[in-house]
Amino acid sequence: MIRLVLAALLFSSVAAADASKDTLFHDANDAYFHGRYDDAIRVYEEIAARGIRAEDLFFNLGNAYAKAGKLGPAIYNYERALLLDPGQDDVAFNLKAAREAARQKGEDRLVGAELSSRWIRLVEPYTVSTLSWTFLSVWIALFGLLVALHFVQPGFLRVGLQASLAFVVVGVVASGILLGGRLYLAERVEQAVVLPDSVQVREGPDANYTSSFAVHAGLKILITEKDQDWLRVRLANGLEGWLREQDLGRL
Amino acid sequence: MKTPTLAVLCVLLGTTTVHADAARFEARLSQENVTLDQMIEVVITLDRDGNQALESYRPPQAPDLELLHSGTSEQMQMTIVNGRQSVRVVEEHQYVFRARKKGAFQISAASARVGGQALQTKPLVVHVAPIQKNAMTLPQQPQPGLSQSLPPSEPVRADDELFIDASCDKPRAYLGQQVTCTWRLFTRADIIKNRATSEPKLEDFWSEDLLIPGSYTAWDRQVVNGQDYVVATVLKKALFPLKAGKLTITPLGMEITTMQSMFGANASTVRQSKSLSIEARPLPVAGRPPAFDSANIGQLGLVATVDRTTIRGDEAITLRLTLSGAGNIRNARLARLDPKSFDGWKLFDPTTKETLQRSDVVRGEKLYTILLMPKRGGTLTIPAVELPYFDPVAEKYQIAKSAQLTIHVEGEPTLATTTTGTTAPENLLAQQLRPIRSRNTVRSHVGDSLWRGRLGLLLLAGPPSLWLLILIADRLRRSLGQETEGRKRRRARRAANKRIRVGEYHIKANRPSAFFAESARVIYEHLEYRLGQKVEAYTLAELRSVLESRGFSKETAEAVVKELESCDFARFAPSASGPGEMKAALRRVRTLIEWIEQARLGKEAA
Repeated sequence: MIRLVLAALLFSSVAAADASKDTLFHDANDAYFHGRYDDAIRVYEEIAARGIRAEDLFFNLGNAYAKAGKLGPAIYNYERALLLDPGQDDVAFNLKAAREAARQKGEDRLVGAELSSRWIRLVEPYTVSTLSWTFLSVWIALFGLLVALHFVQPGFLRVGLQASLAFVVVGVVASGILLGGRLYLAERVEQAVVLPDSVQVREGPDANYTSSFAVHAGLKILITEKDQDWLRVRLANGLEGWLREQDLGRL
Repeated sequence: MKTPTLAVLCVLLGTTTVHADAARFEARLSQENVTLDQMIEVVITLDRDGNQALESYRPPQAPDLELLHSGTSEQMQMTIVNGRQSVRVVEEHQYVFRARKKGAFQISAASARVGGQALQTKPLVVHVAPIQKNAMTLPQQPQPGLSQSLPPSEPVRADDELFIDASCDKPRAYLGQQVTCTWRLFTRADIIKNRATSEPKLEDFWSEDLLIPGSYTAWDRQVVNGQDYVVATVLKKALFPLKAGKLTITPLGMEITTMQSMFGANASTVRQSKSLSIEARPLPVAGRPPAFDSANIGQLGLVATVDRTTIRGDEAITLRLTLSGAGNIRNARLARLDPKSFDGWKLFDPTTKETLQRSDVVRGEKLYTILLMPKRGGTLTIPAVELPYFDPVAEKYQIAKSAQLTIHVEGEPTLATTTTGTTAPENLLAQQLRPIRSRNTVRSHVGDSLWRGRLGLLLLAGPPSLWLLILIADRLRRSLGQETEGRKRRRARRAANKRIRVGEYHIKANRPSAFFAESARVIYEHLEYRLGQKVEAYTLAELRSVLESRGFSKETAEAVVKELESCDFARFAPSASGPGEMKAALRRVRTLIEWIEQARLGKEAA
């Protein structure tokens, strides 16, 4: 009986938390629709602070930042939404528009800094989930064909199975490489987005170090090292330096 | 005396004729003594009659030398002497080698087969000595348009008829200071085409092309170590170091096709320049202005202009700030204008436009266009704008400063600005965004947990495990279903024992005919089990020879035949066989069965 009561209490608290974040989400959307973008941002961030990782939330938050003229956080949240599901047309559209707006702000850009490595561009459009299921499908098909070949006598059917096997092997290798790359990107490569409109990259992990160059809102960079609240970052064109953690949105 | 003279003359004439028809095949070495930086040229000449067919040709081998280039040319010579026409074909095979180490190296003989005749050149020996340092420097005389960027002491390779020279105008430079690097192609052969196979890697530099690869046309002549070369600049870049330290520029690689003869024989070869290194020095700390931006390096200037000096209160003026000079203009930038210093003005964000001139020194201008709206009437000033920069030539920090401008605003502005001093531009992006998602609920993404749990491992290991299980099970099934020798023997023995028991029953019932038929059956069946073939159809003589040919001993074969014979006899004369005879026959049959089992057949014996 006690267990039942506890379970009911737990369920009701979870349901209440769900209702609460749904209400907040509704309130934030309402603020957005009435042009109160700063209020919308505050509420969306409150939901995100609860550990909610939802593409709808990040997309709306990105839009609110973009409407408020804060390009760095807008791009950061669009990137977060795309990480969860790269196939969202509206997010990709708004991200492109925000990047274009950042480019047109008249700031000088570092050549080659905005283009990610080729392998990252290759694997990034797919989620780990999509690639995992693709790989497992061809993996299972591979062994299914091997079992079938074991029993099928020489003949037309066997030749067909052998040809299919060749294609499936290619599929296993290709999807395996893509999956490996995507898992490596997700687990080992730390990416971040520059949040302020412009920030100086320092030669060392302290504000007293000389600045090497400046980076601008929305630039996607790799994190290679951490020293207290400073992060060593590497740009796609190979430049490196140190930035404050607060100036970056970690993906 | 006359006769011997004529004979000698005839012999000489005959020899000359024969010699004229014979093929000449020889090898020639350009120099027998070379240094490590010099090339070794071997020319194989095959001079043959036009009627003689070249059946085969094997080039010379030099395993200790590096083959840089090979090419073939062919000439035809037609002569008419005393009305007799002859055609000779002269074929030349040219090989260019380079030694990897000093010493004496042999170049083996080349061989050819012409008109059924085997020909061979003499093997050659080349002596390679170490490099003589004073033989490698470029002559000091200036070459128009070429030697300006080459430091006088820069060594140039002259060991080849084709090489790429790479050089920079200075070995060390400050961060952001221009270094001009040039890659030039030196050739003594006629170049038909060329292409870059590997571009220099310039990761630590901001680079500007001063000469687009593939677009060069200007050829010049230059003498290197007494050799006349044709020279062209193939790549020229202005490089601006981005970080301090020793920076390396990787070599330029090119594939070059040269014409070997006027008859169209071509050869392709790959050449690579040397790598270059630049020592990039950090900017000095002493004297650095507080507002200095490390992107502003060079000889820079700043000019401010306005489109009008008198405007109405509701009009705007356009302020143009032109940052110009020599240096990395594309990277240079003005600091964000401070709205507080523009008293009485509302500033809008600037737009920029840059123009570069790529001569030997990169220069150009960057134009900042800023819209200014007056916030009050009267005389307003546009303050001087400062641009601190580092001059790497003077090796000190300088400040470029635009002039202060005075603007007369007639009347008061009609557009009152409440947010004084802000420069917020119109948010054009806001109009381009796709709308938010107005769902009532927000659900957290579950995430890609497949590989974190057991499901992924199960799905990964399941199919191969299942496949292996199926393979093992199938192997086991086949193994169990297989007929082994022991199994066959046991089954035959069981069948024989069964028939012997039937025979014992016939003895008890005193049925000699049935007993001997059963005895013969036992022997035949056991033989069939051992031989793996039917034997009942054979006559006894044939059976004997079959048994002997299959490896049964003569005694066993004889005993088998004799027993079968006695069985046949007893079956057809049963009255002659009593129980005692039958028991004796049964013992013999048992013995025979053992012999048949123990017999070592031909295949087993082998």
